Amino acid sequence: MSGGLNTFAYVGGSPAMYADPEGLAIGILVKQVVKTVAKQAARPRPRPAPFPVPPPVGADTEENCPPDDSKRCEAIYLLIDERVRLVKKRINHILKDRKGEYEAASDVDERFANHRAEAKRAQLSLMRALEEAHIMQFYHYRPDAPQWAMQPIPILPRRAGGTL
Amino acid sequence: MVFISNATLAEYWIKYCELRKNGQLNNDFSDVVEEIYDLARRNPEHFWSIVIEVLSVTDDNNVLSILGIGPIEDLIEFHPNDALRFIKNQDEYRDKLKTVLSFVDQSTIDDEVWNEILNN
Repeated sequence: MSGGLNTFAYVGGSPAMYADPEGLAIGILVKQVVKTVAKQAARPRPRPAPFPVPPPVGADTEENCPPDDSKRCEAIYLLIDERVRLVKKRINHILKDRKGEYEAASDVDERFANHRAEAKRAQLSLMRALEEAHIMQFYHYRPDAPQWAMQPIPILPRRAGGTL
Repeated sequence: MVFISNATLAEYWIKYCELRKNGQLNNDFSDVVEEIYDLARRNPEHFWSIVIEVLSVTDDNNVLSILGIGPIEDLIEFHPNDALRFIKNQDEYRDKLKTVLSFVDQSTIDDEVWNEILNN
């Protein structure tokens, strides 16, 4: 027992009450340690971030671009800006479909499906631009871009008596 | 850089629309389609020549609707004056173009431009 074991803890923090001069209770202690380690291992680990780290640190396109590759960097930031704008627009169209703001109600289902497909495509384009930025290590794009790339696309609510 | 003719891009577009409608899209098309969408925003003249190519070979409503909902809407939003000029000068496929424009959403387009488009 000399050296490694905490003798105070071994007697349950109460040396006046407990003693184990023969060392017979060591098995109980080992069992306790194994149980604690197993418990910790079973604990759920924090999930990794959904997008590659490091996160974007700002939207300042000019100052934060590396001087040796600023043109390419600014072009990527502009592309990301443009694609965020398109994703927003497409999602807005879907929300309008849902409100039934279009005049021709008969073609709303097809229009809705097309708007959803456009929104998905726009998100994919944005994701590709973000990937390119990360590959090039340009992290100063607009901070809301990853959020728009992964924004859930609205679905058409079920109509009363209808199939959708 | 690989040169792709307008006729080939138009073919790709039509195939893309067909696969998209049938829910069979794959990654083979993503680069070319991305290129067409980007052209609508970056090179309106080139984009319009592809549109004419598409209109010359198909009157499929699905193809025309995706054109209207997607890149043509972007073209009008990003380059309203060019778009207006293209539309005004297009006589040969006027009816098909009307179908395409019926799918464009007006909300992001200036009222004055939109009214002028409708009157042409």
